[in-house]
Amino acid sequence: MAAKQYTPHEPEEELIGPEELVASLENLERAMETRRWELIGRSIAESPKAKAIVNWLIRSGFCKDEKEAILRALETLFFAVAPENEREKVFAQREHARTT
Amino acid sequence: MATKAIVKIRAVSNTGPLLSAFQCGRVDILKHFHEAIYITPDQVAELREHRAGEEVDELVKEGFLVVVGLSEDEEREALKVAEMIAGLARNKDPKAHLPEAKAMVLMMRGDLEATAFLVEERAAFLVAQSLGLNPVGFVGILLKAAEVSLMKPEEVLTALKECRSKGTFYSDRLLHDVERQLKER
Repeated sequence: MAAKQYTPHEPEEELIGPEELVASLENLERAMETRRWELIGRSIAESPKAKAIVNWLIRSGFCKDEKEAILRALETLFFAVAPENEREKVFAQREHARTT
Repeated sequence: MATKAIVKIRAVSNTGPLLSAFQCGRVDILKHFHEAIYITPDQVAELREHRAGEEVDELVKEGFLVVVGLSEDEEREALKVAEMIAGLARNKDPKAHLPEAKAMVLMMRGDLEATAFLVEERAAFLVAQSLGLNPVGFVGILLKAAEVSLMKPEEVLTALKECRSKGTFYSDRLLHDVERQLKER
């Protein structure tokens, strides 16, 4: 069977070059990472146990919203199990973010 | 140590990347990285003009390509984006850039959960980048495919040369850069 012939696309326009290739790869990585976190967020939101815990934390006034509840829960676990040097790194990052 | 599995993304695409995938017969690579690709009726019309109507119909039937129209407000917004593209493109007529502008406006919608905008033209790529729309060229997808061993380096080069032989004007500079990157990986 003869190969299908498509007509060329916008021959007068310049296509992406090496500079945009680098950006393409970075953007594709970012797109995948963003989607991965969206799906993680969705799976947490769909968990009845997680929902019940988060709702209780908000209702009881420990956290103002879902985002704060999840972030504080992560921090609590991290500081409970991580070695001191790792905790110091996170403290330094947090301090850097606060002051810049 | 746990490794991250490849997560399929949703993207909005302009005509070029889809046409390139058809030209080199590697729609499978797009399917490997995407759970769905959104296009506007303008991309469908352009792809039909390029004799890819049957392929588009098949992918729409599968649910891989999803055609989404714009609202009147979005159409007006697209005209502004088309003017931005025209400012950087060789063709200075904004109307010539409306299809890619419409796809960009579609990308701006939050409800589609699209995280990448697929585009081949440099001017549209630069505007998309400035608008924070995460533009990705088909060549970038092929390089990623090589990185995860989905394609051999020589298959990437063959695919690009195939596109070029069918009228997609990837520059020598780009092909040399791809070759260099494939050797480094």
